[in-house]
Amino acid sequence: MVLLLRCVAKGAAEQPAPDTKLTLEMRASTASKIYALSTYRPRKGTIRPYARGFLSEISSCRVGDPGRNNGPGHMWNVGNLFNLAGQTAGLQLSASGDTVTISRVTYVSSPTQSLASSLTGNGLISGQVIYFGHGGSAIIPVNGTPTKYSALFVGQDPVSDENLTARNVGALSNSMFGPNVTFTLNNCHAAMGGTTSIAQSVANQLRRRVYAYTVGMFFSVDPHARVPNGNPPNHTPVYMRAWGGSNPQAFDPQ
Amino acid sequence: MSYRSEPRASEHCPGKCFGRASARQIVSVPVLFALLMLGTTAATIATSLPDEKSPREVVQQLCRLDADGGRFTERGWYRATQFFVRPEPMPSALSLVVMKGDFSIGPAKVHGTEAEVGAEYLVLGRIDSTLRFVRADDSPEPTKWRYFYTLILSDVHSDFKEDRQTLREVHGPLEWRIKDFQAQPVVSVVAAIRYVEAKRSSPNPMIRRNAARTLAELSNSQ
Repeated sequence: MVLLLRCVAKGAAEQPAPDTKLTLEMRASTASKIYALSTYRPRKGTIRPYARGFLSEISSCRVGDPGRNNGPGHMWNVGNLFNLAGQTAGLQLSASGDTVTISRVTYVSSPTQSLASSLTGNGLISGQVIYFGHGGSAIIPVNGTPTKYSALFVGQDPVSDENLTARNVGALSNSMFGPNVTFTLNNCHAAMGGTTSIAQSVANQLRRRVYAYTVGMFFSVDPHARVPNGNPPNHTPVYMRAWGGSNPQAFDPQ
Repeated sequence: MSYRSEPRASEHCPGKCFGRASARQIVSVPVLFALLMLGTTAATIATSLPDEKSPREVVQQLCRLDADGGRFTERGWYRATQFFVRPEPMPSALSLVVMKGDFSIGPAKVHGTEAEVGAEYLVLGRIDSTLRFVRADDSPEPTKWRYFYTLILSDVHSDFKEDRQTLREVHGPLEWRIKDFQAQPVVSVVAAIRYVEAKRSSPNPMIRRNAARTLAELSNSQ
């Protein structure tokens, strides 16, 4: 379950500053409703399911399948919130003069609706890439031993091409990236593990700086929220925030 | 004014109606007989096929067994060997993964005689062989896990000899089994508490201390 936000600056002179993504939230609403992401069940009737692949321009979003509610303690369905968080960031980037496209992706390397195809199939990217989705660990058998990998859960089903790990990160290409592109991973625990994290794997593969969080994340209408406190609305602005207000870690290619 | 449009068959023309029913029966008896024969044949074929579970069912059953603490006992551990191509003997001290809530099983991807099935968990942490509870990834909140099982369809698997240590090759019915052994069961909080409570009376003070802390943490996680 992913939203990928791609920002294309209008020419080199108008390219966003490297820290644009960090200042985005500073200009946003100061409302106080907050909502916990993914590991916390949404309150009834507040959010409609929204999870599987949509790929569209920001002005013509398409809504995909509902997400998974797998029972008590296993509610991963965050409704429309990844989409809203992506739209919020997109609107702010657009307001600052960028051309922004929002892609919804389900797979890692499929010809369509995949993270790989969305990075290469939408023209040159010279600004930043922001990813919104679930993250965690994928335990995959390697030579007979179950091995744990830091992962982005791109799709909503536990099938191999819906998870991005160090094993299949090679499917991603920087062929359409400008030299100053940065990639921000807005998902739980993407920086966990440091050099073995999926954030480091993406940085190594794309040869660009990646920002990611070691902690879990939640949704809020408050761009400065440190802890969840209530339900976010089903409209923008909605922000993905790190627990405790942690700052993202930067990962440079190794 | 009252009127009756049609006399009821049972009241006014029993013979005629009986005659119609007989005609239907004449038609339907051979049809019913044929259907009965077909059904019997189908049932015979069905019972003659091996009781083959789908890859998803195999994983579902293992995860259910584990979640409920089925592999805490020696009997349960060796009962679970039916799910694996090459099982391993029960360790002297178990190491557990504790999940919040319940697991869920994804769709199976089958390629010939090999299949992949994923299970999803919200993991709280691990309990090691000294009953020490460690949060998953040192994270204060639960972390999402996707555990991928590879299964193969085969009529050959390994099973334990009477000593329950040595494996032997067994030929049996064609069935799906998990290729890679899973040594750490993923258990529910309730099952984990039950396990720790059963082991807390260890003579080792470190284990008793760990058990008390683990029980406190798990109770808060429920």
